[in-house]
Amino acid sequence: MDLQRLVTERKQGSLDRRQFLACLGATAAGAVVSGARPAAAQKKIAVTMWDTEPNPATRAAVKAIVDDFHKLHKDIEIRAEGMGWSDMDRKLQAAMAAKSPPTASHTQTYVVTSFRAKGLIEPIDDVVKAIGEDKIFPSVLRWLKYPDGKYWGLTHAWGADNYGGRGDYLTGTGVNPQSWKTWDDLLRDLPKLNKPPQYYALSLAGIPFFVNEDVYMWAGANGGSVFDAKGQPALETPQILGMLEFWRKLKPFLPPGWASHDYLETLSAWATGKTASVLMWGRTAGYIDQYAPPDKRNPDVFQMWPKTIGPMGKAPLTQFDNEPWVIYADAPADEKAACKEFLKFFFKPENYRRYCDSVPVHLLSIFKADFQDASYLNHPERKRWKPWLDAQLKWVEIQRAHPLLVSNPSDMLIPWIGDVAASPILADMVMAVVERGKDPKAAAKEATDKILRDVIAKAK
Amino acid sequence: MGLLLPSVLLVLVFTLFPVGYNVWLGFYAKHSLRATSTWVGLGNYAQLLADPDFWRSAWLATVYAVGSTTLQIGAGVAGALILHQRFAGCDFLRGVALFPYMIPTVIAVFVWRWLMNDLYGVIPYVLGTLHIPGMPEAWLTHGTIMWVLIILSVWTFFPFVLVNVLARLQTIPPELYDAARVDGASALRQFRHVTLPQLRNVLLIVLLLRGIWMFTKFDVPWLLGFGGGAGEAIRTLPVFTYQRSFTYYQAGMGAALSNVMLALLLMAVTIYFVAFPPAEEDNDA
Repeated sequence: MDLQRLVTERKQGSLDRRQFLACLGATAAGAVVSGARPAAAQKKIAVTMWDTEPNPATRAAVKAIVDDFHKLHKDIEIRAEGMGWSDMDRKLQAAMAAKSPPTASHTQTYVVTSFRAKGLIEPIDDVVKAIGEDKIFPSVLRWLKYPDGKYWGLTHAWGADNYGGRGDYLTGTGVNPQSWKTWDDLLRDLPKLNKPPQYYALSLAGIPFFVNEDVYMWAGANGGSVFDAKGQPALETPQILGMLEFWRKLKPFLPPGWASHDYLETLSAWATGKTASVLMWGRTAGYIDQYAPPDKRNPDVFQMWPKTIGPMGKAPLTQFDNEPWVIYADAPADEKAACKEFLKFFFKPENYRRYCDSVPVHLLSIFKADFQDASYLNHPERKRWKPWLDAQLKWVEIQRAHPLLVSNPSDMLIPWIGDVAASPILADMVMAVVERGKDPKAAAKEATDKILRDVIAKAK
Repeated sequence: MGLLLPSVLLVLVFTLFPVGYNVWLGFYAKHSLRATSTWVGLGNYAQLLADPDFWRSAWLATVYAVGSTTLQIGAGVAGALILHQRFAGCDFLRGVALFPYMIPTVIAVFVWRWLMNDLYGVIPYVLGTLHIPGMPEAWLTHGTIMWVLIILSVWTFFPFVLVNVLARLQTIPPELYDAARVDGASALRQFRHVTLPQLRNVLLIVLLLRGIWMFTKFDVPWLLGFGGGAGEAIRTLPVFTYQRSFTYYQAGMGAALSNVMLALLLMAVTIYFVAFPPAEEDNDA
C-alpha cells in the first residue's frame, strides 16, 4: 500500500486511526526493506575511498575520473570523498574501531608502518606492477617497500618541503641567502630580515603536527634522529639538544603569536608580506596568487632559499610528502578488487594528469617520464613556478627528502612511529624549551619518559 | 507498568548502557584502532593519578570553569538588569544580546582567532595603538591564551544567564519594590534585599548548569588551541581526555578519564546542593 493511498483512505474515513498507523508502520518497514533491493538487484560493488585533497579543483578532477571509470565499469560505484587530515584521522579511528573501514584511503608513510604492524592493511604489489614499477620514481617507491619485498601503499602524488624567502626583502640588507650553509649563517642574517611589527624574519607553525615536521627535519639536519637504531627515543642526544637550542635562538625572529599559528596561517603570512621566510610546500603558490599583490606573484619575489645544517650535520633534510593510497584488510574482497581496478585506471596517464594539474606545483607526478614531458612541464603554473619545481626535484635527486618523522631510513620500520607523530609529545618538548624557557635536557628527558610510558609501553 | 517499558528501555539503551560501557572500558587497555582489549583493572586510574599532566589539566579545567562561569553570571545579571528597564530600543537589544549564543561555536572561535591574531587581528592592533605599558604583543600565547579562552567563552555563553535572569526579573512582583521604597531603601539596597533573594534559585541553577558545562567544555578550548602549541596552556581535562583517546589512541585511558570527570562533577554537585539547598519559592515571588 503506498503512502498517498493510505492518507486518502484515512481522510475518507475508511481507515480508523489505529489501522492507519498500523498500515503506515508496515509501509515504512516495507520501504526500508525494498529500498535496499534495487542496489542488491543491480549488484553494484560500492568502493569507499577517502582522500586528503578536499580543495575544489582536485575534487572536480577526481569526480571527472570517477565518472569516466563508471562508464567503463557499470558494476562498480566509486564513492570518493575528500577531507582534511584531522577529519581523516578521526573518521578512520571510528571506522577501524567498528571494524568497518573504507576500502582505501590516503595516509602518511608512518601510518603505513603502523597499520602494517597491526595487520590493518594489505599489500598492493599487483597495482604497482600493473602501473609499472619501473616508471615510478625510485624515491617514491623506496618508502613503501618493506623488508618482506612488498609494496604496502602507493603514493597519490608527491611534493617536498622547501624554505621560501621574500626576495624583495633582501634589498639593501646585504644578505645573500644562497651563500647560507649552516644554522649559524642563518642566525647571523635573520636579524637583518626582521623588521617587527611590519614583518618578521621567519614563520613557523605551532600546531603539533607541524612542529613534528620541523623537529625531525632539523634533527636530521643536525646529524640526529628522533629514534635510535632500536626504535627507542633518542631525544637526549647532542643532536636533538642542539636542535632545541637552535629553535630557541630562532624565537626572536618569529611572530610573537607563532605558537598558535597553524600551517595555512604561516603561508598566508608569507604571501601577504608579514614574514620574510617560511617552511612551505608547492601548494603555497595558490596562496600567493590569492593574497600577494599582482606584481609580486612570481618566483623572483617568492624565492627558494637553501636549507641549512646544524653543527653536527652533514646535509640538510627535508620532508617528503609521500602520502600513499592504502587498502584496508577488513574491507570485503570484491570491494578491494574493484578498488584496485580503479587505482589502475586512476594512474593511467590521461586520468592522472588531470589530477596532478588540479594543484600543479604541489601534486607532483610519481612518473619519471612526466618530468621529461613538455606537456607536463609547460603547464602555465609549472612554468611560472619552475624554480619551485626544480627545488623539489633536487631533494629527490639527492635523496634527502624523507617522510614525516623519518630522520633515518630505518626509522620507517618503527611500529610506534605513527603513535608518536599523533601525540603532542614532541611539540610539548619544543614549547617547553622555546616558550616556557625549560632546560632542553630536562624537556628532552620528560618527552623521552612520555614516549616510553605512553606510547611504546602501550604499543607492546 | 507496560506503559513505562518504552521509557525504561530508552533510558537503558541511550543513557545507562553508554555510561556502563564507559565504566567497563576504563578497566581495559584498549588501542583505539584495534578491536581487542586487555584487562588492567584499576591500572588506568593508578597511572593517570600519578601523571602530572592529568593534574595540570584538571587545574586548567577548574580555572576555566570557575573563571568563565563567574564572569558569565556577572555579565548575564548585569545585562539582564539593564534590559529589564524600558527604554527606546530595548526590545532590539534583547534580541541582539542573544546573538553570541546563537552563533555556531566553530564560527565564534575562528572569528575570535582572527580578531586576536598577532599579525592581522583588530584587537591586538587597537590595543597596540594605546601604548599601554605591559600590554602583550600577542594574545594567543602560552601566557595569555587562557584569558582569551575565558573572555571568548563569556561572550559566547553569557546570554544563557541573561535570558534566565531576565525571565525571573520579569516575574518579581513590583509591590516588593514599592514596599522597599516606602521603607526608604536605595537602589543598591533594593537590589541586595529584594532582587538578589528573588533571583537566588535561578542563579543557583544557572551556576550549576554553566559550571558543569564549562568544566566539560571541549569544543571551545580545542578549536582555539588545537591541544598543542600555545593550546598546551588551555589543555583542559576534556581536551586531555580527547587526546588520550584519539591522539594517543588509548581508548581505555580516555574512558577512565571520562569516568574521573563524571566522579568529580558528581562530587561538586553534591557539595553544591549541601552548601546551597534550594530555597522554597515564596508564593508571592
